[in-house]
Amino acid sequence: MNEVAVNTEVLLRNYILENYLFTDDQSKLNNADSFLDSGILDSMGILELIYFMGEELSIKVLPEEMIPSNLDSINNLLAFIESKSS
Amino acid sequence: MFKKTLIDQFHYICDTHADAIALQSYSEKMSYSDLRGRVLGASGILRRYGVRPGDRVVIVMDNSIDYVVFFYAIWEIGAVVVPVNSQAKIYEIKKIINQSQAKVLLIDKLDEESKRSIKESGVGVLALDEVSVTTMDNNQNEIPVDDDRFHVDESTLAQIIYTSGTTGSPKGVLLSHGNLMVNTGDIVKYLKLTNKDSILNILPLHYSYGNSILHTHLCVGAKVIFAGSMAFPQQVTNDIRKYGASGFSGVPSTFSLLLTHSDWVSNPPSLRYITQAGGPMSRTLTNQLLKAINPRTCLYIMYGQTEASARISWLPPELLISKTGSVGIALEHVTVEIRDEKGNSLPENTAGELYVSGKSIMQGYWNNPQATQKVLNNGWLKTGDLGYLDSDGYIYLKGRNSDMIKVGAHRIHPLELEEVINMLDFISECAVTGIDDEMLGQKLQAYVVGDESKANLFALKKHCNEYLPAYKIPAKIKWVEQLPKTASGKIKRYQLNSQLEIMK
Repeated sequence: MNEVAVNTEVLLRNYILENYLFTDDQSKLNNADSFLDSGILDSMGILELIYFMGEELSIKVLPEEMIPSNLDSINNLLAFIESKSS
Repeated sequence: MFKKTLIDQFHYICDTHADAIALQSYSEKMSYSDLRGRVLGASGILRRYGVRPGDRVVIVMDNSIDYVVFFYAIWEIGAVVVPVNSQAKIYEIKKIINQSQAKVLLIDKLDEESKRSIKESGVGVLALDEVSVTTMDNNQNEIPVDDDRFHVDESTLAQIIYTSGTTGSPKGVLLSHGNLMVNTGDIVKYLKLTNKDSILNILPLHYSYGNSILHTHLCVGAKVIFAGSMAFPQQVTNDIRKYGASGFSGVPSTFSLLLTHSDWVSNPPSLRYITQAGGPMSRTLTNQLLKAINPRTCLYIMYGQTEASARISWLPPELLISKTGSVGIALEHVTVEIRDEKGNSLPENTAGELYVSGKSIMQGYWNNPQATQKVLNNGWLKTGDLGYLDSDGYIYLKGRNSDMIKVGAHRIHPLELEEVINMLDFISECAVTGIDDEMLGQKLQAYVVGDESKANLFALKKHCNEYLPAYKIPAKIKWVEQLPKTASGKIKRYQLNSQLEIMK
């Protein structure tokens, strides 16, 4: 993983941990955890996450890209961001 | 013509529509005859857990085929379904178990410690991640359909649906089989539901809206599809097309999300009907939705309350323009009246409080005669909603006469949150209000008095997260020096937002 990808991962993980799990304990979030299934985010949380990605990473998510395989875990987000940037 | 109860109607449909698909999910498709097999198998399991007629069974499950299987299995025994939000934390679940004096807790999954503590209080725990539901089919022969069956009638208690209470504790709305059957029948009639219909349901089944969607469709032999989540609006739209659904139901925020975050506007799905309830939808959004939907799709605006089984009124789609802003006319078996503060009936076009009566009105609140007395009198339910009737009897709502906050589809009383926030040592007092939100209608805002610091703010959010589901965690938290109060020391809730913004 290159430096940009590592920074993106840290940024996204910390955003979820601080704003939805209210902790800085890194062990509370696995990159493969489904945000929805594990109750971390609800529909408003996903929208807030999209807003955050737009602000912090300049990633614009199109309606047709709003699907679980792009957004429902840290791993999915990283792969999605990677595909958008390439 | 329907049978007297939904469970009798269910068996009738299983007999007459045995091969029709009743339920569908991403992974499974189930016919009415298979569904009955599962229901009978699940009722056998529940019986072995000691569930008998009249016992309360708390179910904390996500929307799924299993939810429906166990729901009808509880009715098959003549027991009472107590559905709880699947996002609820153990703190809230325990409250409802105690309040409803439940016999068994049925839950998707539960940690060992919580399981132990619930079992210690004498309540059976059935965690579905440990029981193989698919093997239940093998048990179906144990329980004969007719011989050994407890026969429920209209007066038998069917369900206790908990709603946000004004005392900090939720209130259990008692609905009889008669209440639900009458309301279901009225809804089926105006939506013109038939066995050809199939609805893609994203609304939680534990709320009365989702509950009524399930029963109205199963009682005519239609199909209920569980797919998608409003977290991914485009996927919901794709699924409506993929499964060829004829119906879809939502709350205002559902439609707001679909119009802004999916391709409904450019490519509207070909639905026969759309229903909207769960809070008033703005005229702007209604017009946007009307413009976006397929011209052949009928949009039904509806109004109701859990205390009225679900529905009170509906607006015929052809009157959407001429009666714009109205939530419609009373259902066939519901009577609506507008009354003043003294309870006197008011004439048409005069604003007051809505009272409703009829066979779908609840029996009262579980073990709470005081709360029951406040809202039920001589068969009339005091709704707490303000509004008027026009000269044709159509209802126009003008707000609520209570502190209840409506966030998306959720009704939340501020005391529920205040009770949790006040547990913290560094908070001396707090008050929660609703602030306007374009998407959700309202959002929660907490005003807190206490030791302000970043660490405490973090601790406060963490604490809320431990006790409350995500939708009950305040979106905004503001530290204030004091709260506005009346001379007798009561918080002036209605002035909170305006006064505290000025005081800042």
